[in-house]
Amino acid sequence: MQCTLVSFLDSLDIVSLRKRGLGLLVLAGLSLSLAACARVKPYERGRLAKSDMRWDGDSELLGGQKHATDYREGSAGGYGGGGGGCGCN
Amino acid sequence: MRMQLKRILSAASLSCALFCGIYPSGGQQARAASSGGAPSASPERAQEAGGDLGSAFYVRTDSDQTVVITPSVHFRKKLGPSKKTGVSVGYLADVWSSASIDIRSAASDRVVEQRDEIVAGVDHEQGLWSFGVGYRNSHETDYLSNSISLSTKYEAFERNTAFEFRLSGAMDKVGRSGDANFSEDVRTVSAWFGVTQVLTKKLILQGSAEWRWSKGFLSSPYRWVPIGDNLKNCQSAEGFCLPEAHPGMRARVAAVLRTRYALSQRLSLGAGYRFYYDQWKVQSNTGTLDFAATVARGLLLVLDGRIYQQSAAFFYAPQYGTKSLVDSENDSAYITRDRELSKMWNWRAGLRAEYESPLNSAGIGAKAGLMTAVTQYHYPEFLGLDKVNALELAGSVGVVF
Repeated sequence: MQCTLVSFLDSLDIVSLRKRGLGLLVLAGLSLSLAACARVKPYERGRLAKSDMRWDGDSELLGGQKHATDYREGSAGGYGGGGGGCGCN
Repeated sequence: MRMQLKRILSAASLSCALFCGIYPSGGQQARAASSGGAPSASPERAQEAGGDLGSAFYVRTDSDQTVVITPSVHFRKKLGPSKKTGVSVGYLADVWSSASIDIRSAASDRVVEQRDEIVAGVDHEQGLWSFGVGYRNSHETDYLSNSISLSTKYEAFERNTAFEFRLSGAMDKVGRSGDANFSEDVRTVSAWFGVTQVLTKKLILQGSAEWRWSKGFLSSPYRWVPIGDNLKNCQSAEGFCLPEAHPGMRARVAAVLRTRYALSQRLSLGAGYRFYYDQWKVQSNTGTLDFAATVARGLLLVLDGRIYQQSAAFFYAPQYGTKSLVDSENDSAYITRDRELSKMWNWRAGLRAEYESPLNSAGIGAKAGLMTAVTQYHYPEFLGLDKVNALELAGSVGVVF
């Protein structure tokens, strides 16, 4: 099964791609696993619930900007935006 | 040949095709799923509200003679007394007018087009789990896209850690205006995984990675590439042009690490980094930094900056001479006139304000937002265009209930 997967990826000529992606994921996973040692009680998370602690702002307000950014650069993804296309200029 | 160039769309359609996001689940959960957010630390207002109705307006203009106007409307509603299930629908029209370098180099007139997009989603919370499913339809005269996504989220360790996973697939149909016989397919599958961790009562961290695979017609059906030394466009009689030809498959991977820290009770700092690499040998680095301040009850001001840099695709060349094509080192027949596949970098600075009033005795509140940003793009290896300045403005209003 594993050999089949490796063969498939190799056939796509993305060996370096696979290595780099997995390497970054492992690094991020390790960082977060270490971080998981720190427990914060629910009553201590009040500050984190404030609106200024959101990762991103109002999705409606910023939707157009994200859309424009994505198709004016050669790379995209990483933030969980999903797939789907358009013939945008 | 030139007759066929009466209209050109940027091959940016590809990168857009891979990232026109759909929000699979409604309400705050959708935003939490799509943008992260601290585990069990979503804004208090979202816990109270059962839905919202709003609209937004976005305008973008740049020095490459392109203007985009995007009005949108959305509706979200939590169902039942427990409010654990939500539905959402949305619509936007993407109207753009352009006489960009692509169009000018083909001696074409200004192009005006409209894209209509409909999104719908359902989400459900069950204990520490939440699930979402979404659908998106995007329609233009020469492009049709249908996509679905499935997402799930699990909160662990007293809700200090959130694991999120999303799988999406898209089926696109590429057409060409004025050519009823032209019809090509594009298939895209993407998988995204993210972990968000509360580190301290003031600090959160998120790591995520995404893989995308696209297969099919990944070129622009309108873009032609001048072949000949010192030939900048297809108007000259000194050379000839060939249709843009990109590889038929593209695998991409992106990894993101970002953090937010509360500097005080009203001020926070956010920072992020994204690494990207793909099968076409495009590699990019993106850095983000922002300050967010609650300046009054319900009023948030955010100052943000972003810097981006990328390398060129392996088959990109500023010019394709006839000799270079025959003696191609990479032994490929791929050619492009897509500036987004050239070496480039850009920076952006923005300011926005978001306001949300408390719910009144009837359980109704108001919200509004304003955003402006300037971006400067640099293309050091693209003939005919070395810099583009862009200005963005957006506003939104809505009611929360």
